[in-house]
This record gives sequence, C-alpha cells and structure tokens, in this order.
Amino acid sequence: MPSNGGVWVIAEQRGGKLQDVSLELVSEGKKVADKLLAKLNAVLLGSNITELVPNLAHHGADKVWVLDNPALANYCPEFYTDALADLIQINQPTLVLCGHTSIGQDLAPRLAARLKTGLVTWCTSLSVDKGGVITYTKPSYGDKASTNIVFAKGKPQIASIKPGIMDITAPNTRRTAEVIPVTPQFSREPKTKVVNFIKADPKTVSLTEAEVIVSGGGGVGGTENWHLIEELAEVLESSVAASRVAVDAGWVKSERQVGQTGKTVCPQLYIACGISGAIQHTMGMKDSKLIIAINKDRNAPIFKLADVKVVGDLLQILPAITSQIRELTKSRDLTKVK
Amino acid sequence: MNIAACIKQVLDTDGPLGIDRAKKSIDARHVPLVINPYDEMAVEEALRLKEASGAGQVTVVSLGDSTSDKALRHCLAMGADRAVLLADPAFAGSDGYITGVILAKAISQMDCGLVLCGARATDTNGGQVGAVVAEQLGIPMVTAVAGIEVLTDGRKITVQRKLERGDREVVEIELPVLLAIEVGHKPRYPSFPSRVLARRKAIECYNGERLGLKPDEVGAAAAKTTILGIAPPKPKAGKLFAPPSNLSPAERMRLLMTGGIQEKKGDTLEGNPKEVAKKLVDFLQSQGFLPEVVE
Repeated sequence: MPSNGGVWVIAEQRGGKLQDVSLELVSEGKKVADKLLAKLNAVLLGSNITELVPNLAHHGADKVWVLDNPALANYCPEFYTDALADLIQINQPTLVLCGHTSIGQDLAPRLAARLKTGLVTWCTSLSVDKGGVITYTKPSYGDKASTNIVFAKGKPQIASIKPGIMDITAPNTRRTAEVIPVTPQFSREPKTKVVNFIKADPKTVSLTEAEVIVSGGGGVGGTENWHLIEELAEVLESSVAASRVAVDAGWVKSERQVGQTGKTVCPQLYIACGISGAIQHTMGMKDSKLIIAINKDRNAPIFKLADVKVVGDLLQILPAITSQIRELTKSRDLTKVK
Repeated sequence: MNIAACIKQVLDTDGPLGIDRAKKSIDARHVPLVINPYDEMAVEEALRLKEASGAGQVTVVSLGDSTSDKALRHCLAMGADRAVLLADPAFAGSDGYITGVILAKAISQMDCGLVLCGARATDTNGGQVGAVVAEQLGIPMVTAVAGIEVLTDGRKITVQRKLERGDREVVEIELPVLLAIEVGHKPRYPSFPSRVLARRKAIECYNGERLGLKPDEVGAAAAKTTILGIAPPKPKAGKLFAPPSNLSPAERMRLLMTGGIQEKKGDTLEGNPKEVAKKLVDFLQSQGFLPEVVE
C-alpha cells in the first residue's frame, strides 16, 4: 500500500483553544506515520490560530496546514467540508483521522461522502501490519462486539477516533513543524443558518449530561428540608440529584436518582449532602471530576471519595452557603449596574 | 410534502448476543430482528410531520432482503403510505458508502421534500449512510437532530440539534434536506387492526436494474471498506485493581470488595457553619463554579 501521501489529522479547536482530542490524534497519528514511513500532517481550521501550531509540533506534527478564514472560526459543516475536501483532493493523503466528537461525528461522514470513500467511525484502535495495511477496530452491536475493518477500495482512508482513548505522548518542546498557510475562499452563504442557541436548563437536563450536580441523601432528614438542596442547586445553576434513600422517601422523583439502580453521572462537580456513601450510590458518581461531601459523621465512607470533606450539620451549612453565594452574585449584579 | 424515511433492520442488541469466534461473526440464530431504534424514531417523526401538515405521503425505504418484510410492514402499520424494499443478490456485502448510494438512487426516483434517517444503526454503529445519501442527492444535511418544526410557508424548516451537555442549537434551512435523527418522540405502537391492514398492503421491490445500478457498482465488489471480522469486545484495560501491598490484609480485602475506591487526600473543613460555608464558597469561586451574572 503506498504510504507517500502522508498521514493527516484534523486538529480540533473551539473558541481558539486546542482540544485535548487534537493532541491525542497527533500522538497516535505520529505512531502510524512512523510505521508507514510517512510524514504527519495536522490541519488546523479557524481564525487567527497560528499560536496553536507549536503545541501540535511538540506532540509529533511534521507539517501543519493552517486554514485561516473568519468563516471557519466556529465549526460550520459546509465550509469545513468544502475546505477540507479541496485540500485533501489536491494533496492525496493516505489516511485522515479526526476525533469522534460532536464536530467529528458531523464532519467525518460529510467528508467521506464528498470524497467518495469509506469511513470508520467510533474507532478505538488502529494497527498497521508489515505491508502497511491498517486495521481499524470499533465497538459495534451496542458495545457487545468489536468489529475489525480494512479499507478495500476507498482512498483516502478516513476514521474518526473516540476521544479519551489514545495516549498523549510527552511533548518535545524542541520539535518544530513546517507551517503551510492556506486561505480558503467561500463564494456562497452556507445553506444551514444557526438561528438560536438554547443553553441546557439544569433543572430539566438529563443527569448524565449535567455539569454540576447537588445531591441529597438521607441526612437531609425530611421533605421539609429538601428545599435546602434545591436552593443550593438554584444559586449554583446546577441540577438536583439524590441517593436512593431520598428517592424512596419520596422527597424527589426517581429520575433524579444516582447510583446502581439510578443513573451513572460524571459531572465536573458533585456535591453530596447528607449521603453516607454506600457502594450502591458511589458506583454512580465516583468518576465525577470534583467531589465535595457534606456529612455529620466524620467516618462516613463518602469522605473517602471526597476532594473536600465538610464535617458538620448540613441543615446549618447549606443555608449559609446558599446565602453567601446569593450575596456574591448580588454584589456582582450591583457593580454591573454601576 | 412527501417524506422518505430510510430504515434498516438490525439484530436486537438489547438482548444477549452470541459471537461465533471461529467464523468471526455474530451468531444471529436466536437474536430477534428489529427496526434500528434511531430509524424507528425517524419514521415516527415523518408520520408526525405528515399528520401536522395534513398532506403528502410517507415512504419508508430499506436496503435488505426478504426478511426485511417484517420491519417494512411494521412501518406500514405505524402509518406509512408506501414501503419500498431495495433487494438484489448483487447488493450483498455493501458497506455504508454503497448503501448510501443505493438508497439515494431509489429516493431520487421519488418526489421528496424531506429525507429522514436515524443517526446511526445500532449494529454497525456507523453513522455514515445519511451523509452519503445527502451528498448523492445533492441536498444539505443536518445531523444530531433533536426536534423538527416546519415553518408556515412550507419551504423552510427549523431543526434543533443536540450539542454537548444538553445544549441545543437551532438551525434554519430550506427544503429539500436530509435530517439524521438523534433524539425523537417515542415511536407509536401500531394497533392490531392496523397491523392486519398492513399485512395486506403491497411492498414495492426494486432491484439493481430497476435502480439503474450495474452489478459492479454495488455490493462487496464496490465496497470501500471490508469487515475483517467481529470479535467479543476486549475487556476494558486498566480496570484491574491491585491494592497497595503495604496495607493490612483487611484493608486490602476491603479495597478489593469496594471496587478499589482509593481514599482521596482531600481537605477537611469543620467548625462554625458560617466559616465552613465561607471557605467552601471561596473554594467554589476559585474553581470557577460560581455562575456568571447574566446581563
């Protein structure tokens, strides 16, 4: 299999910030490129993004194509497809990798369809044999099987890689990359027009998608105290959750239950109030990025998981937190008014 | 407005699934066949749009074989007006790309303002076919669709798209367009009389010749990708937990039984509730969790 076309990865930036998945792609792409004796090319699309190039070079990019145009600042399906398809048609890479993110899920199929080639989505690993044939592995049948796929006729080979799987190699700050600026021109308006953006309402958003969760358990003591959890959730603009004890007691609906018989959540912040931390509950929240636990019992198992442990009576602490946050946001309100 | 909905019949992945390790394929003998859940949602959305406008036809299209009859009749019972089966021995071995090409050929022979399909099939987990159909038909596509509204003039629609963390984006687009449905209404369950009626309806069957496709343009001969084999998923790496050997046997035992939750060395706050609250609020602020004031 000819490998002189090079390995390409599509680096993802949002709001001018390089996403982690881009470094994962560059790291993995470099390994594949080395096996194919090819150069690793990264493609950056955006507006004023040259400052992101060194980071890509440090992790393995040999060449970085910088597609700079204000129309590319944010992901626009039609323009991204047009610009990339043109570039790929001219330069004929062997392999194009992108991340299987919300952007990649949209972009990769469009690109493959435009280039009349095949596609492996949701790819979790790729291996290169001695003849340079690349085998792609992806989960299928509801994660109950994994499928191995090779490209028969399709060229270039396109795959979207699941984020968070590939390791990011240690950066080599002395590495530099050749920068090739490209100024794509667009002569038309996109057919799809974004007319509105609806921010998720923390009160109704599914717990699995929630960013901050305030969760209450048996320690809340009764339905008359549940408003403390709801008020804290409100000032933090976050979602309410509960342990099984609170759900069984009828303080909150069962769709808000976290744990073995409820939902598994992974928010940025999880505040466990009056939850002792039985394994049935912690299984559903232990992967939260930051955990704050508030409990009367200093030996409660939940504290073993907590990044911040608050020993005390939540009936006194929660109202204090809520009112202090209210004060803070109010004072900020006032400064804004001035 | 006429609507085409693309469906695929898949193995029900909710139940147990055997894998034949020798043949490197799924052992499908005891697995029921169902409509791909995303496609079923697409059919439901198509029917709701038709009912809202009170005009037009819903046509379901599927690439399959004689076993696809069940899925197509289910859609007819749900309320679809026509069912079209694209079947030809030459289609065997088609990958996502070729499937898209064949579907697009069939849909181009219908007069459709809207093409709906599921975001992906639960068996191959691909998510490629919709894009190929749209590209072949030369119409735009919107993915991750979570809600559809046809504007009053009937020429434009607005569509909600699912973004990360529960956020939604609303896009406006002129017809014709292809929508890949990610989140939709719960598909209706057809009544018994409608099932009986659906059994008597005819299913139109198109083969390669009728679609104007040559045998070397379809099937395994033309496929861009080939499935080498299907294997049981690899066990997740890194989940094996070995407790540190310097702990007491009792502690190691406990760690093993709790799935290896290791104690975090977090700060402990206690004392006066007001002061504790103050420290916690400062911490939340330093971590950037206090909401910005909305202007």
